[in-house]
Amino acid sequence: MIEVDSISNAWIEGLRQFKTTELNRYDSRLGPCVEIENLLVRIRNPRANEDLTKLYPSRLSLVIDRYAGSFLDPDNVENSTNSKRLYEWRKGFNNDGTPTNDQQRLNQVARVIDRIVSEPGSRQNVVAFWDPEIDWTHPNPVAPLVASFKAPAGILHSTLIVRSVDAYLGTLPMFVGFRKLHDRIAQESGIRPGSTSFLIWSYHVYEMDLPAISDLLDRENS
Amino acid sequence: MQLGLYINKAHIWSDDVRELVQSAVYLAESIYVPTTVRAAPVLSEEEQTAIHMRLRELHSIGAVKFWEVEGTKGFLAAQAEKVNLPVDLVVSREQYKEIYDKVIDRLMENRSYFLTSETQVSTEGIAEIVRGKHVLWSFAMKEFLGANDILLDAVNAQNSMLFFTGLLAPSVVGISNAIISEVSMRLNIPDVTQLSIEQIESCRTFMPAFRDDLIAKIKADGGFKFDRTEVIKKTADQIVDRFVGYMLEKKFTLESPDQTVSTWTLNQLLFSQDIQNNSDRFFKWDNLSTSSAPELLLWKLKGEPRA
Repeated sequence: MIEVDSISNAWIEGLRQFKTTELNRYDSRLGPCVEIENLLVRIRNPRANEDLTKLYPSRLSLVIDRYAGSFLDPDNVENSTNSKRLYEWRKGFNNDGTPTNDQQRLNQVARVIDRIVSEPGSRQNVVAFWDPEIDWTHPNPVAPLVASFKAPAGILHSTLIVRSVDAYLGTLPMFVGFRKLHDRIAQESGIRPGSTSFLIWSYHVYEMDLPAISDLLDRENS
Repeated sequence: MQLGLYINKAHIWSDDVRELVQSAVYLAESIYVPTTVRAAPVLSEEEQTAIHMRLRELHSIGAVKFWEVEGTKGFLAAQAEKVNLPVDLVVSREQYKEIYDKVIDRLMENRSYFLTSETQVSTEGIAEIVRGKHVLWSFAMKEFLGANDILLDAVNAQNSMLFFTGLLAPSVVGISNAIISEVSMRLNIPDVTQLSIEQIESCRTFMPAFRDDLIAKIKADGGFKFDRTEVIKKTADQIVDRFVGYMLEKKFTLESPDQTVSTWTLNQLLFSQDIQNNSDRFFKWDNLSTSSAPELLLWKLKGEPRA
């Protein structure tokens, strides 16, 4: 388990694990990679304005920012699967269990905020990303699976369970995006943001990225 | 013409070894294999040892060249302890950085072009970038090592197709391997993985003429860009017909002790066990080492005794 105070430290410590942990090595559909299973990361108190742009290839910053932004963007559901799942989940059933007759949509984020306000200690405050009817056979299924939010003492704590993350390119956008969602939910619920945790089933690095990671770790050590 | 092939895998299996040997015998002067490659760990110790030995043998005759990127091995130290393969080509940190930066630049340029804007969001999210960088990395490394084509397994090939749908011409190597399998079956040529390394080395002297002829046939009229099945059948037909015709043109004389002269029938040439049992004597009929007939490789393979 990694427990740190900032997103950048969480990322760097996660990458360090690849030098100290026993790794699964295999050929993925994209190429050779090494993997850590079930990595748990807890970021105690992330700084809201942490500058992360120097840490990853600057040429990719726009794409990464856009992905991170998808956690907050209800107006972009056509272009982002994350946005669609969070803000316009395809609703198949009414609250009484009867099937819906039209194309109803469910805003999961609005529902989470309502429940934090009415029942802050609830253990049912869960958001789903994974749609079993779509993602099971999808060639590129969503990486985040399910998130939970809880605020028993007036401080919001959240956890995101992730199916799979490219540790080099995917970690920061995932952490930053979910952290932004966490902060927004805290703000709109009128409570303070607390820790954010991530449980990542497959935290992996493609071998073509290993020398770049080695350079990054060397720079961070110096 | 020289042909080099690039491969990038963590683990290799018996099927991969078959593809390596087939490429070494029929197609390529060199196959560039990462020095971090290992036999699949789920295989038995005996199988793993055999695969590593085969890799070293192929390296010893120059068919395989091992490459590595500086800075990779530190992460893979645990497995490096068990097997140590040599290194022929090293991509330095500076060269790696140059290639990597170029890959990312090219990726973003293409992305902007196809999405019409750099700020456009794709529904694929980061996966789009991850997939793209891998495909472009493979092509960049192929260029860096001076290889002509990439040996892809089915899964990797699917990944490349997803990224470059409609842009990539079919791989000449992929279609060549399919034609070779078809020709081998029709001419009853046994599995080349059964050859000893000495036999492989010997066969490789006939490989360039066969390979050049094969690729010329595939590329004739640009046909390989269209109907893959038809091209495989048509090219295999041509090679088999030419091989049979070539054999019929020859009068083979056995140098038996009693000076008996024997003319061999087509059936005997193609399927006879006697051919295999007398392969050394058959190869006296012509100056094979300097001949450039494409058919000689197939003839040689049919005559090689199997272990």
